[in-house]
Amino acid sequence: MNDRFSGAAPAAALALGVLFVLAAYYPILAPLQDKSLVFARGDFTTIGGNESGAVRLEQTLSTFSDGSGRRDTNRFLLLGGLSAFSGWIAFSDAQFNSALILVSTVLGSAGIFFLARRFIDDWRYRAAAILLFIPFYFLNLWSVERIGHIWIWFTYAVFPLFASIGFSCLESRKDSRLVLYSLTFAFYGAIPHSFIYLGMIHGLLAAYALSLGWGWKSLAKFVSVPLVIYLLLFLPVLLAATAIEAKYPVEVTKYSFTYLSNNGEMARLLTFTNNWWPSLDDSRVKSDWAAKGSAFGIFILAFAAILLSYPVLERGLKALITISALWMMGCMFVAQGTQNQIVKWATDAIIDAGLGLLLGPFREWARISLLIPLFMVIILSIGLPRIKWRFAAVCTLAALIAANVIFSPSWAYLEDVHGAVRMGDEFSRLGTMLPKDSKVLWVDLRGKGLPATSLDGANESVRPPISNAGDTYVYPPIIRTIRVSEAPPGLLEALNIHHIVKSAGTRSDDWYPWMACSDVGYLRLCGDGKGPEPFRIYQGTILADDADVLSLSYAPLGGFAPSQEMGERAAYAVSGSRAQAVGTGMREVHMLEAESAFTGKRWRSERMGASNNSVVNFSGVIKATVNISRGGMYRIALVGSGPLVAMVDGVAVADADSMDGFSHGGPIYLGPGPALISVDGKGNGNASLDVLWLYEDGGNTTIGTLFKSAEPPPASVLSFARKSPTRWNALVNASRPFLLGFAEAYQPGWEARIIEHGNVVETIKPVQLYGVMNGYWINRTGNLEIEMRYQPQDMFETGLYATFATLAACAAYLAYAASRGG
Amino acid sequence: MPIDEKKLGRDILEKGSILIPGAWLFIAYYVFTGNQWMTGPFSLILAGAYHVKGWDGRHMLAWGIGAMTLAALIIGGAQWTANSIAIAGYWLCLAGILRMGSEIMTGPSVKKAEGAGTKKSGGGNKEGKKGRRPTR
Repeated sequence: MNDRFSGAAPAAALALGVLFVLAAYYPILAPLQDKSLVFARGDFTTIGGNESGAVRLEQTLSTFSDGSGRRDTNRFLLLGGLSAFSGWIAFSDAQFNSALILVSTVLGSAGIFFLARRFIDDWRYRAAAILLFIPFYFLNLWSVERIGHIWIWFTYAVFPLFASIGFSCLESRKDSRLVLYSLTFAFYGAIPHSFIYLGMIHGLLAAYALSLGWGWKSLAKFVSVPLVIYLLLFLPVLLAATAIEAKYPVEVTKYSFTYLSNNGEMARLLTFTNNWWPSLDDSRVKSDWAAKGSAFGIFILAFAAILLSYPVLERGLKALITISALWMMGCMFVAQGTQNQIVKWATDAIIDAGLGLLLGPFREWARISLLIPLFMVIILSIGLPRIKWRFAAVCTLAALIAANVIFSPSWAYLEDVHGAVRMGDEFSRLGTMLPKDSKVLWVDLRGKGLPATSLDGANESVRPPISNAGDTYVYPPIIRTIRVSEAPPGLLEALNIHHIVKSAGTRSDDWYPWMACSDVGYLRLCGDGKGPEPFRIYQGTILADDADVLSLSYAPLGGFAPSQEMGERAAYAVSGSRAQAVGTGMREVHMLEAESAFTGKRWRSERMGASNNSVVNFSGVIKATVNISRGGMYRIALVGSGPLVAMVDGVAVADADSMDGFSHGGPIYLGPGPALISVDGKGNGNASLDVLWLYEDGGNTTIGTLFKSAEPPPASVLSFARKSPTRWNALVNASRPFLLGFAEAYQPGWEARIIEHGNVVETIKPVQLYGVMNGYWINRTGNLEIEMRYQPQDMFETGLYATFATLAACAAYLAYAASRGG
Repeated sequence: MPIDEKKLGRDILEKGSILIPGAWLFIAYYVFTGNQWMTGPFSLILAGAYHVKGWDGRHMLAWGIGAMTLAALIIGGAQWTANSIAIAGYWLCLAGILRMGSEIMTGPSVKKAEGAGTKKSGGGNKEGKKGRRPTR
């Protein structure tokens, strides 16, 4: 009887446990069944459309850049990597995510099975433990909440398997196991957060090995080999990170620590409800006494298991249960964040010493509690089956886990927070109607989402990206602005945006009358009929080198009405302090934002329609200094009220008393060197200044005519080709130096390489055009072959040799070991 | 199996009879004055007192579990009070487990109960004994 069931019962428990969890996970596994489903909430957002797996690959192929201007290591390393399979498996982006969840759940459950088999001798208790631990591990609130950050959760899912391989490695002391363990470490520790988590488990195993009496030499090998293999496998990423001067971790402040420690109280930690940013209505997380009480009870039972089993444990298990408990309590200590006054004192002292960067990896305190369920599984597996009242204890555990699973807010999370939604036919059709390389802008959604239907039929409002119709650029102010207001044609053309998607029947119906629109269900797709134009030539560019002075270009701004907000936002054409000689045909312009360029007693206030939506109010005099590069006649234009008087080096140049448009003054001669700009509010307590421009006069030049150029273009783009997401080629014929605009999301890593006879003769770094795209000052003439290359990709591809060599060596060694029975 | 739970309970009841009421009064004071964090260091002091009295880690752990159970029972009520008592429980558990850990390093202070180690619970994986399962 025993023999018959000793093997079958635990296996059946594994199968039942996995099936139960997969059934509970249906809302997030459903895309495997229905390709039209997408994930569309918060960070757990996938690209829609049948070809979205391939689109994800396109977006993330360039290292650390998702094509929208974001440096996105997590999605790149995990989702971008997964999408590499899109050439072989016609999965959508959501299906890749669901498959990842499915596989990770099965692997993690297998890990629990192996842990139970390792620690529990009696097959009945082993089967019971497997059946209980799998639902507990995957359906506790910590786990389910973290699905929103799937690049972390997928590592959480395999903690038990990783630990199990680690124990096997310690037990057998075979090098082949160590290599397997190291590869698991590297693959699942790819994301920095995950590396920390797996590093903690690695530390636990090392401490356990030490307690077993391992020598220092063996211990050093166990500790260091996984780290060396990790470094070799991730050399491409590390090289690319170096290339873009990526900073990790992010420096933290006292405020961010306090904020991220919200809900970190011990009582919340002990009830699994210490997430600093719960996505559910707070009442659903806090008020369920059954879920909270059972969570508390599981903690107490774990401690009781230690207490009661301790005298009967042999030394090895005694050490392991103690180390596991200490690791668990260490996590509990840290997870409280600044709710723990000792942590608060320490972090305050470190930040005060200017060493806040050191604390970066720990900024999201609460997430460290993700390790606790694994330690609980180990503690309960070792302790409970060995105590005197083990049957009663296991029954108690079963009741607690059942109550915790049944009454947990996890179900609501799975359905309402993370569950897949159906976007409707329009959503998919839209993706197929757009040209592949087109850039698209969604306008006038006013923060609202699109109608969607959840799996249970409820109507929702979500905002997922669509295959080819995702926002071209994501965060910059200019994009935020033109989403909610009509942009001039010149700006859209400059940004290479030739398609607009908007909701039908909104105030934006009359916008962009020059575009042809067609309704796609509840959506309206508009296009100007032009093809992609990623390269543009700018001329007559003006530059100064003050920090608050922005370089401008004539052509794209010519169509603007500069008194409008849009004109000034577009003035962010070329930002930064890159010094450039002011050449022939160029005009020097300084734009001074009141809130950032001026000093003096002033206070900022919000004002809709103002530049940056803000002005400064003052009563006395505010001042700014600009550095004039080229002597000549200058004029001033400003927006302000009070009345105000603008002076240059003490000479009154312009008056203003209106926030509705520019007031002009001058000209005045200014020589090279610093010039003091002062604006006098004349003691009026209501004086306000929005922005002030100082520019070279071309003869009664106003802001309206400032950007007009009568000169012929200095260059023309003869042809261009997109070789890959990280490599473009362009042929340009230039008669004068020029500024080349390249309408890919700005990243400092995008280089322009001038090619002559197959060799790179000059490499040019980008400046920022419009705050969103790349521009290159090119001081060459004639027929130019120019390659645009995302430079970190070079480093990444170079490092891949090390990755493949390491993988090949590991595989060869494992094959060799297997052939020898290892 | 003669695990010394009865002795443990008796010890707690007898030896703790002097310390414990004072300890809880102390904790209660900080709960009601809002200085919840003091319960932690205080619990460590309490654990130290236990140590002086010759108690082992299990006594401290038992008291920690007791405090946590009390906190769990009132979790549906005042979060503030439950939190304070839970912190005390945490620190007592931590002190107890640390003490138990030190006992492993320095030799067991708790008498090994009769029958311990006879279960098929594995053994240490000493250097040079490759292939032996340490945990089963």
